Amino acid sequence: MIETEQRGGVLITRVTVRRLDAVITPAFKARMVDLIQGGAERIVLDLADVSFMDSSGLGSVVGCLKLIGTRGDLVLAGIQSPVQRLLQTTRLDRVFKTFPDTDAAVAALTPGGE
Amino acid sequence: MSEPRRILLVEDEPTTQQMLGIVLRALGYDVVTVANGVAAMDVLAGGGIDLVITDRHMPEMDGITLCRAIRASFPDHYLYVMMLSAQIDDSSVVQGLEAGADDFLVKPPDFAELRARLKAGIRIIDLQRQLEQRNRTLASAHQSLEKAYEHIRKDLQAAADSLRRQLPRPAELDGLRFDWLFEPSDMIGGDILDVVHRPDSPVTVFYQIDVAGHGVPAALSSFNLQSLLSGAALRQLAETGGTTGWATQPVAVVEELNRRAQRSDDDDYFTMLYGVIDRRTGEGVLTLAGHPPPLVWRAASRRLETLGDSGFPVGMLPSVNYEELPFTLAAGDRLIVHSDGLSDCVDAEERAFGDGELARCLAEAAALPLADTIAMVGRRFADWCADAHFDDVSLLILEKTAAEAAEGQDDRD
Repeated sequence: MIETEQRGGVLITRVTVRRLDAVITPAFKARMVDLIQGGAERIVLDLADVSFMDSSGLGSVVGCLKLIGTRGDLVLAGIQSPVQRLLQTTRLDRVFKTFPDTDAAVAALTPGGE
Repeated sequence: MSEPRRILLVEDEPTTQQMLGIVLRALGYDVVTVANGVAAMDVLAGGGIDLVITDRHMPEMDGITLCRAIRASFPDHYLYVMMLSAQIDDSSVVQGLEAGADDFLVKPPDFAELRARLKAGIRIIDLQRQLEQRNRTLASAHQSLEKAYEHIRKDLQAAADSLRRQLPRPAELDGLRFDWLFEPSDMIGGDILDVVHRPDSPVTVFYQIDVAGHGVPAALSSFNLQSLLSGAALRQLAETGGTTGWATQPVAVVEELNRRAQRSDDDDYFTMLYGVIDRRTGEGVLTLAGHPPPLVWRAASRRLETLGDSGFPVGMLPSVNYEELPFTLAAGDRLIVHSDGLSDCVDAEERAFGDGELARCLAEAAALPLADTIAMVGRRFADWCADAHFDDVSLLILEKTAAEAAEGQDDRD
């Protein structure tokens, strides 16, 4: 459900399911919490495969962002239009940094990059 | 072996019957002897037998017929059947197996072989008994589960009925009419809507809430919120007529709920639209909190507008600001409030109902009475999302009627 890849100081977590909904969210959140509590501070959440996210999925992604807090950052990459629309309706497009792909996101999170 | 196993020996020939009986008792078995199949069936009907050794050729009822009778009469209780025969060839084995025999012995049986074959038979009987026991346990567990499920289903149905009774009765008062559609995805869900619409104040309060997730936990939250909000609105409208009190200030309501919701540590949150409207003037304000923006049908221009854009959900982030969106409904105008379960539901080609179809349907039904418009949207939605109704769905429409101050009835309570 989540594939991870470390690139320099940045952890890429790629969600490999099409629907991030109430069925999958508890397992997704638990895995993300493990990674964050395991020390991951700069995370790119790659949502390129996710074509649908429901309210509980959105809640868990926000929960991850809050868990990292000021220690680091969690940014989104590759979001599809239904997820984009959800972010707009909830105004969270102003809270999350989003990038077209993981390369751009990793560059932005790498010190001296951007 | 705690108790000796009981064997039924069916043999018409007295010498063999006597000799085999002695051998079996010497091996530690309890033996009951009879001389034919009819007598055997009588003994078996009394129970207590694990294993049958039967001669193949007997008067009255032979071994093959007895085998068939045993399998037909005791389908739930396995009996191990060994067939005795002077000679055993392929065709007799096939015939015996087809009749339901488990093993075959040549007459007279070799002592060591008999002992070994009986042991094998007892092993199979023990396995069968365990299976039978397990099946009984499973059947009884299944029955308990069915009962528990039925109990839960009834409770849920009662909860669903009681939630539905909490919904406001469609009504018209002072020229403002409202009606709604409400379809939880399970029996109960996280959507709730209310309209506090009372003759003691010219102000009507309305809101719609969609608690993240669905099912029972979401329903408990939405039920709670409804008691809190409608209770406060009723009280404050009665006390001040809607001139003061936070319940008539949408931004204050949403900000207060957001403050309260920050106390918990989980990912729970909800989206809402909260608004007030002065029925006499049609002027109102509303606040959006993560809820889809409402639509306004303009009767004069016969067009749909989208009101406002977005806002943060409640309970997600601390200290965020919300906006007050003013609006005015002229005679014939309709304010259409819906949850994302309505607009985001997709058809077989993954097209969302909210991408055009909802607006088309509202425009086509604009000339119909409000209740018929709601019914039409409900039908079109059901057709659109026939295969995929995953979320709670609610739709609330307020209409400023052309007739001035038509007295309606609001007999909730």
